[in-house]
Amino acid sequence: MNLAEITLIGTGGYGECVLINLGNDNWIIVDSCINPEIGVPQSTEYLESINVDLKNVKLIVCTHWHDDHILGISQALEKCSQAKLSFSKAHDKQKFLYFLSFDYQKKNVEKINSSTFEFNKCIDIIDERNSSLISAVENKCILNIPVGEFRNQIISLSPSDYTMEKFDHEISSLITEYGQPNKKMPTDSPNAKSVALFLKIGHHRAILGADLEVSLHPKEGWKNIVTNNNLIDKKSSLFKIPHHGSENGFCGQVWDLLLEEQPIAKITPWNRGNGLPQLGMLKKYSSLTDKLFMTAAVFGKQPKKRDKQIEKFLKKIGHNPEEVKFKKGVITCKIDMDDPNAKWEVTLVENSLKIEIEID
Amino acid sequence: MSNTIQNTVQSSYSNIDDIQFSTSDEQIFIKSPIDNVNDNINVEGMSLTTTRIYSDDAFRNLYSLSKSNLYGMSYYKKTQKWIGHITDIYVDSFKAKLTDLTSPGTYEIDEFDLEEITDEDKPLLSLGATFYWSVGYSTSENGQVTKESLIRFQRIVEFTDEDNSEALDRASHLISTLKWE
Repeated sequence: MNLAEITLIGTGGYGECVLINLGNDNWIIVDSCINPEIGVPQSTEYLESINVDLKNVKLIVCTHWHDDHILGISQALEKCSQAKLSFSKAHDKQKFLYFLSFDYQKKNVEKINSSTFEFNKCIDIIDERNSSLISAVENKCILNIPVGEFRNQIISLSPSDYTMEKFDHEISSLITEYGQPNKKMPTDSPNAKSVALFLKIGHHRAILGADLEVSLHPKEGWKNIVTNNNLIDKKSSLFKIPHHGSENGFCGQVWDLLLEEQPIAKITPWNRGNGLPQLGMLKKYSSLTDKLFMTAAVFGKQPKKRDKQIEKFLKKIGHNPEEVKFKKGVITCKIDMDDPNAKWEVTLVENSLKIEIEID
Repeated sequence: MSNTIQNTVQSSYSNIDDIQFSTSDEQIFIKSPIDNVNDNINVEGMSLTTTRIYSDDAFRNLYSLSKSNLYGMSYYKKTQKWIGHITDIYVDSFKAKLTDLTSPGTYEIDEFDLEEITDEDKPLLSLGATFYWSVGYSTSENGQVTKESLIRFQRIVEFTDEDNSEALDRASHLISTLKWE
């Protein structure tokens, strides 16, 4: 038996990450999340808890450069001394690196004003190591590992060339609008620049949707993948649902053409605003699979506990700051890659749960 | 500035090799060569709040101590402070992501009326703009207790020449050294 693993860790608002064992202890980390109380990256904490030598982490994929999506990723990269780094870069490398460097300079004024602090630290680490960066674009194999009779692969499905050309123009606007040291770039999500991944693990396949959206333009997002991918050779039995199960992340053609019937489907909730996923989308996903899992329930917002007098005062002045709570959930899925008939074994840890909704 | 205040501030920053005090009409500036500066110092029963302004050649950080805190006839107790970043702007209000500076950890989201901002700060209202928000109780010399909610927008608008050079140098270095597959 040659066990592969895809583990999803969600936090409710402090990032998410996926840990992948491609077999023979070859590990990949996708994105990053932290416990905000102690600042520890959940990816390396998980791997260390199951006695994985962090030297066996071959690749760290950064699906988005904004800090909110990758909290702690630089710490993870620091600890994983053999890992390469992969992300989607703009076509105009020069402009992209200027953009990153200027945003990084905000750390001299107020570190929190930089939206790319984590990403920039990763670049510094790669530079110091004299290691390579792997650019993630549509239809590209970013990792190829022989395991037994198989060549297990990680393939980036996005962003499309069209999207990255658009991003080159967008960089100039970002510098103009948010280049000042007293301004922080807001998180733009969902978006078409996110890196979706296709995993080939023995006889089995999986898709990790990151935050990729359905765009209006056919050469962007999921429409582009469904139409123009040329490396998806088989339907997937496991799907990490994009963008916290939002409507913008849902593409019916993905379910019809790229996924098996009743796949394992995993969601990380987002506990800001009205919260994601909304009930309507949960019902939709439940109609497509009876194996739907979430890292935690979407929960109501409460104010943060603090000094009673301050609480009273805040109430009196009409303020009720809503705390975005850290709620960790872990969904571990393992499968025998040698057995074409094997099914994923799912283990739910901490706040994670199986979704069972009655469909009208 | 009184010797008591100088001595107290000096002892609060005892791990710093050199502190320079200078005064202006509005504020007292402390130049500190390191990042970690206490946000709250009690001097003669008054709480001094610090705001990092900018970095210059000789020192990394310049901090200002609000004069009203130092010389005003009031001191603060039970303060709560945040740094906020505007995420949404509406007709009469805006929403912000708040990072708790008093008890760091989870972040919060809150909505503010535009009327809570001073006229001087209103031009600084834009997506991504940074502000400091503090709430607390202040007690005047004559014992009057006032509840205060203060919002101040961060006023730095330009990188220094050194910051610009550093960014350009870093980008140029990375362009020439980074290997892409």
